[in-house]
Amino acid sequence: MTSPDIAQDDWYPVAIAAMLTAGAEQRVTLMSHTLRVTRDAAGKATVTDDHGTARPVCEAHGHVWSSIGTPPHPIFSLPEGVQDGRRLVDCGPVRVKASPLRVVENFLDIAHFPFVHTDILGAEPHTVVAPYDVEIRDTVDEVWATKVSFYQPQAAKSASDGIVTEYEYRVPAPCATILYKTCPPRPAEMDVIALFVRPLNEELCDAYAWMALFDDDTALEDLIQFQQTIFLQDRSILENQVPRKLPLDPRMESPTRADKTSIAYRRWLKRRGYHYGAETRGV
Amino acid sequence: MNTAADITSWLPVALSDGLPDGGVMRVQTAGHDLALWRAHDHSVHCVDNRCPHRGMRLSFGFVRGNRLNCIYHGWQYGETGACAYIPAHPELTPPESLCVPTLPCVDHGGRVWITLDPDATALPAMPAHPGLRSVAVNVSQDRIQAALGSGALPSTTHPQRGCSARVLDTSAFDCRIALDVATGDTATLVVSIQSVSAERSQLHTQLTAAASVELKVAASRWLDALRDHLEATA
Amino acid sequence: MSLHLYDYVLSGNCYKVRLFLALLNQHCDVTAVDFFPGEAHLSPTFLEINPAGTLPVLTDGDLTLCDSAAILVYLAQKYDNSGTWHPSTDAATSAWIQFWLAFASKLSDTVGQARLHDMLNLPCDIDATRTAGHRALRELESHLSEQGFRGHRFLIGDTPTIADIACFPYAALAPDGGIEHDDYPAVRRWLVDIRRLPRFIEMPGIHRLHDQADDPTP
Ligand SMILES: N[C@@H](CCC(=O)N[C@@H](CS)C(=O)NCC(=O)O)C(=O)O
Ligand code: FES
Ligand SMILES: [Fe+2]
Repeated sequence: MTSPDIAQDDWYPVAIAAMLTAGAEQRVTLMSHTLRVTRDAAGKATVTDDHGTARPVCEAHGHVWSSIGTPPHPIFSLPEGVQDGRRLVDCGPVRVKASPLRVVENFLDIAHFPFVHTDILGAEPHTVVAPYDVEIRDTVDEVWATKVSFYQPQAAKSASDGIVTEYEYRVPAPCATILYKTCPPRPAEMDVIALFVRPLNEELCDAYAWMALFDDDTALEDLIQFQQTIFLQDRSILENQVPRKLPLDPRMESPTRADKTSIAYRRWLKRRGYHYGAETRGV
Repeated sequence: MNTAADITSWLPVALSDGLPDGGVMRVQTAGHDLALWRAHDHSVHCVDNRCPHRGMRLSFGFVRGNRLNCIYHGWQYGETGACAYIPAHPELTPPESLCVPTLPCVDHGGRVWITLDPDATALPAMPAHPGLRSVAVNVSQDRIQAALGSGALPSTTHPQRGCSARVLDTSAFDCRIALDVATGDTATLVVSIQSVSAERSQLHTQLTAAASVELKVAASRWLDALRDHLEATA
Repeated sequence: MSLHLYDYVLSGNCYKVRLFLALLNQHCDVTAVDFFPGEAHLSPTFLEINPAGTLPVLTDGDLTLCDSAAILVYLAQKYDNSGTWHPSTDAATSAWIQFWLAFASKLSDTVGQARLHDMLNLPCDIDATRTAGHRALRELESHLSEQGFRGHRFLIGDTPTIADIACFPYAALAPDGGIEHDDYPAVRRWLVDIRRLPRFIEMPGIHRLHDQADDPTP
């Protein structure tokens, strides 16, 4: 389907809030529309479309968000983003020739760690994906995966040895996903890494990685480049998945138990009628 | 050369030397995206370039023993295309239905061939000359065939490496070209044309006899000139 | 005196230096510079180190070197005990090393530029840049085919040199900028030969050659 349908009423990231300085202007593409993103002297961000019409705008989770439609809800909440003691890290938008939905789905996947993020997030022979829980939380209409665990040689920039990392995954919106993972310096807390995706069209997107970490020691540059390393390892995979769009017909690709989150994500998209970036044709 | 009227429909897609044991490469032809690989038992295989799991191109994969492994999650496919192992679930025996479609693929006459026709008759005997190189040309197979058929081949002019060329004959599978080198040496080049798309082809080339480095370089430079000539006149 | 590298993890030019240091088994302290999104290479502090505002920069005591080719030459002459990485046994070999170091800049300006466009949305005339990139790869392909006739796996002879290290990153990363390797079989084989070198390290966009690992499969 090529019409943005319900997808156009979602919020999408259009700028890193901190990089949109007063008086600055950025032009971005959102679902084939050109948007002009500016910030006035008073600090207020404004988004206008190619006709000069003002578009909805909000600032949250380190980004400026907008829409080419009319979002019926405020943007999802992410309380960890304002929690004391966390360092907030902007990793910048990276362009990927893939459907935004493929990008989100890859973020939810752990089975690829030993092969794609070798010696960082995974390593053979530690390839087993232990059973975990997945649910669609109807009250908030979000996909959640919990009790996910995986052996990692270097789980974070701050990790020095291999550990079994615990994860929770959350999909609050079709093009936004957040993970909570074991925080090596602070065992009682979880680090937060989010990926916010802006579709330029159904097969091209900009992915903004954003982190809220308990790590006061590692240099900011090292934190950013650790995350960029991971994402750029994924990028060459994402650009070589066929078809580019995410298939919603369960017969088109063959998941296993390790893919429970991805299965739930695809079902949830289908149930919501979110077809932008999805391959809706069957086998 | 391969035309619709041919009794066989085998396509040359690589030189045998171009696909070493444990090698994987991508092949595109007539809208098909394929992965060609060679097991460590030296057998060659051709599969759909799409992992049934999450669609990753298998040409990015790697070979261990006699299995092709997908780079994304490491699923392993045997020589029949059946999935043999899923690293996330080592204890699981993958169901038989889990497999990647294969195409007939043979290593024959110094070239690797595939066919899209499951009933294709076996290739006839042909000599396995050593490979020279495969050259990509941004011109359709038809136009290349027409150009070779017209006999209007380019010459190169270097005092030692320069070559003049003439077509000796063409068969259903390849075209033989005589090269006369400025040094007085001669060579016979066997050129097999593979269609990649409506605008692109590959020339898989061999020399019929053992040749010196200088002669191979002369032939290789002539192939560069042939490619440039074909692209300039297309 | 110790080596210090100002580095950006996604830069192919910086990777030339990281890779060569790894192959030499030579330790080096590294400072990450936030090229993207922070544009820290244009900050006043960094411009004090390199007024040109480019990465990589290598310092060794009082010496500051601001160009990947210059750094490779320096490291080879100073830290390569084998003397094989920058053979300067004769005039022609030295000249050929120089030729390929210059060719590496051509790759960086074409294939590397297309990658920055496709990946980080940096402006350029993408069609012209990709066309120039393919032209450069054809040149590399023809040369490597001819090296194959001589029984030589690398750009100069059958032993890797800094010429290979300089040309490897952007040739390997070409698909990141929409320039596929399909048309370049000799280049593909050379890339694999470099990836098989002892102590080779990857960078994002260049995957591990998993076929070398012990197979844990039953
Ligand atoms: N000739 C230099 C070029 C280095 C270069 O262009 N580096 C890029 C990063 S890969 C850079 O710092 N660009 C910043 C700029 O051009 O503003 C070298 O090879 O080291
Ligand atoms: S896509 Fe091939 S193993 Fe997952
Ligand atoms: Fe990943």
